[in-house]
Amino acid sequence: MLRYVLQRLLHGLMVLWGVSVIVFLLMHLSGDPAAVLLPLDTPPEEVAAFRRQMGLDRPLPVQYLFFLSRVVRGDFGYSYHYRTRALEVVLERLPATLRLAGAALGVSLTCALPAGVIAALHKDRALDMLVRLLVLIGQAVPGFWLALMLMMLFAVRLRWLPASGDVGWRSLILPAITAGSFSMASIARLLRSGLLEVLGKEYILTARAKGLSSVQILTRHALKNAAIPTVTMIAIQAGWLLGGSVIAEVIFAYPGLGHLAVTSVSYRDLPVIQCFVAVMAAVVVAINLLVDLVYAWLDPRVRLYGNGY
Amino acid sequence: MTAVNRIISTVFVCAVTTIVLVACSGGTPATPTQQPPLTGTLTVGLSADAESMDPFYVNQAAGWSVVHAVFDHLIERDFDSRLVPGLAESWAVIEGQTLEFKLRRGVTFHNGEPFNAEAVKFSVERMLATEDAPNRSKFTAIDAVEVVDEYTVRFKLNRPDGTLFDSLTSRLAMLPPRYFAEVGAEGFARSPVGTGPFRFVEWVPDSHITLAANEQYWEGSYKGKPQVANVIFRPLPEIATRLAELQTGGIDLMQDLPADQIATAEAAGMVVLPAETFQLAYILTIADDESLPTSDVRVRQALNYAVDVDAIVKHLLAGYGKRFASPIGPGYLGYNPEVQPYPYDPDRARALLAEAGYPEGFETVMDITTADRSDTAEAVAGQLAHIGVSVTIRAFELGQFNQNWIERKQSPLWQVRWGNTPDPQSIGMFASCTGWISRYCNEEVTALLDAAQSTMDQEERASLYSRASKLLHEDPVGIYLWTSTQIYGLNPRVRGFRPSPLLGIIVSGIALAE
Repeated sequence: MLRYVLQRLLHGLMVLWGVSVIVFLLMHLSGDPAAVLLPLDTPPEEVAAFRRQMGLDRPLPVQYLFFLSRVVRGDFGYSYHYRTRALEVVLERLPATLRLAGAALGVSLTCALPAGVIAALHKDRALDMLVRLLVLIGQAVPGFWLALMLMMLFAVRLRWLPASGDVGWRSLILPAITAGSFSMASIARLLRSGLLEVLGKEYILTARAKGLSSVQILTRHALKNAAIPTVTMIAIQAGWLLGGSVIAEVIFAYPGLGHLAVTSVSYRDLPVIQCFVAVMAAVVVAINLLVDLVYAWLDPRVRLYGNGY
Repeated sequence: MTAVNRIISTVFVCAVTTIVLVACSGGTPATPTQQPPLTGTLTVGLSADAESMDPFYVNQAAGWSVVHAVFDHLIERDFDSRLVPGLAESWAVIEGQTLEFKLRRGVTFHNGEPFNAEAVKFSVERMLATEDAPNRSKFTAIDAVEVVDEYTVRFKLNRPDGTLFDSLTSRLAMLPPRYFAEVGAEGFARSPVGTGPFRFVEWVPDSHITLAANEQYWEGSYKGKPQVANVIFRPLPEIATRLAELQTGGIDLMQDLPADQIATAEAAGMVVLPAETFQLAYILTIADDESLPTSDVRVRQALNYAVDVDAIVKHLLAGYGKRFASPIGPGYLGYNPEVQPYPYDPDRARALLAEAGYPEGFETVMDITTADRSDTAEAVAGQLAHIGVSVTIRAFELGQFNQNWIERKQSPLWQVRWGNTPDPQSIGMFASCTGWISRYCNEEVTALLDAAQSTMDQEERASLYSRASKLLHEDPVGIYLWTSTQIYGLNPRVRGFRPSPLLGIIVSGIALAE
């Protein structure tokens, strides 16, 4: 078990290092930040001085080594746009993003779990069809349209909820529904198919023969086994939600990381982009690590033989 | 009692009553601090967040709104675009290359520190020392700042620079030296202190900026005194969201209302206020490449005759936008009303093209940015097609677009909006032979623009720009389209809002009716 955990940890660190190299390369080959940062009517000598000051004129490998040595100490440089430490800029918005991602995941799980179970249990009957239809709509509807419709109905027409901002739990509702709708669909479908597969297995038949009730079968046997692929999907969705439900954040003016990422790209704010990707990569790796531990809890085979049993 | 006695008694009683009342009230006239305390919160919806609370790092409209609320400048540009005294009561050019300012007395920063010549010296020196400040290059004519006495300061210039007055009105806010020394640049950006009508309270990035009224704001500012207790700026980048917040009362004032949403806003009971800006829309052309048709002045004139600007403004911009005849547009220093915009005359256009050697027209490419409207570009392309000029449109992301321009890799036509001040200095960037992003070279124009930059006499500058305007019309830099209109949406309870020609919203002087 310990060997398993250490193995996963090492794997995670390697992923992080790989991400740092890729991010560094990609960002530095995408264009000159000075062209965007300074007003167009800045004379070339001033632009050159600016680039020197920002360290943009050194060779790439040198820039990377400096970058890495600083990153390890938590120094991602100064945001070109905000002129404060890039890490601060990112961490400032992290709590808001965590709240939104948590709420969105909560919304999607609250809908997806019952939906997946109901659909599986009533396979090919009316309820199943209904659930699958709703799920399809959830996946097909474009995020921005859903966001605007929700805003028009609940904020402008009914005045039940605020149209934007981050003041209290009510501001979370509409963005969470917008962000969570796609995730809900994916999780529900996967749970349904996973459950169907498990319910068809022989040991379920045996359990029923033993006299266990449907509820007991579900909770003690079926769900645990169907959960494994579903948990993977939940982890993927969580990572995706954390990385920024950009559409929800922009439309509802929610001060999160997704919005920051997009504006930083358009401002060519390299330090913030790099910091954002690094922080997100770290969060995703952490989530995956957690999920690996959950696998170990769910599936004894993993505990004994590791992930590649 | 006789009538006379009664009158005398009445007068006597009145007189005594008045004297008693005056004596009891202390006898002094009401001072500003005896006014009732301010109440109310004005919420303004911006289209983006401020870059920084440090005014030297601000370069976009959202940030300027905050800068003008928290800080003041030596010279200010009022609502009618005139240069008026700000923190400097008067100024004069002495001995050719020295600028002397007489400062306003009795002004204090929000932390109680006095505003004086030391503060001016500190602010200017900091600007010159901050290498990555976007607007630093506008002040490089200043060599040194001399404190003559507590309220007199001199800028020693290394060359005459007539644009300095304009730059001082919005790009060099006055900073408190003692406070700055205490907290440093980072601390200052976290918690700025100025002399302006509002004090900084907090900034949650991408969420809101909160300011509180400075009850001690000095008299005589064109901005007016604060009329509300608090101002909250909310960055709401999505237009639909801004409009929704306006309709629900989440914000009281918004900028950048699109023309096609005016009906929606008015239907919801909001007030819509269009305002002219100094921004001009162009389609610039490459004039310095002999291999291109646009290098011929007749071709560039033809392009101007071929575009029916009025029709585009009417149908695509809901009528918001005026014609202009040269980059020295309406309201600019040196605007020449005798120079009239090109009339729509496709026949003349075709004739000019034939004269220039393109009777069948030619093919060309136009660059636009993804942030801009593509429908106006397409409308122009459609009209050019009528005279045989077939235009392919390429869209670029803003950073790439600017880079193409800087590296001289742009297409023969490219759509731009330029200008945010009535001082024509910056058009030299793209309209003079030495402009570093210029693809146009007219010797006479260049001489006039250079001369106008190097004199401090505003009247002389005006006449130089006026002459340049005529030349720039006859030898166009590109296709002259329309002036940009800024449309504001207001909640009916907003009173006293005046659009400013500067980038940004002046919140001081805005009151809220009950």
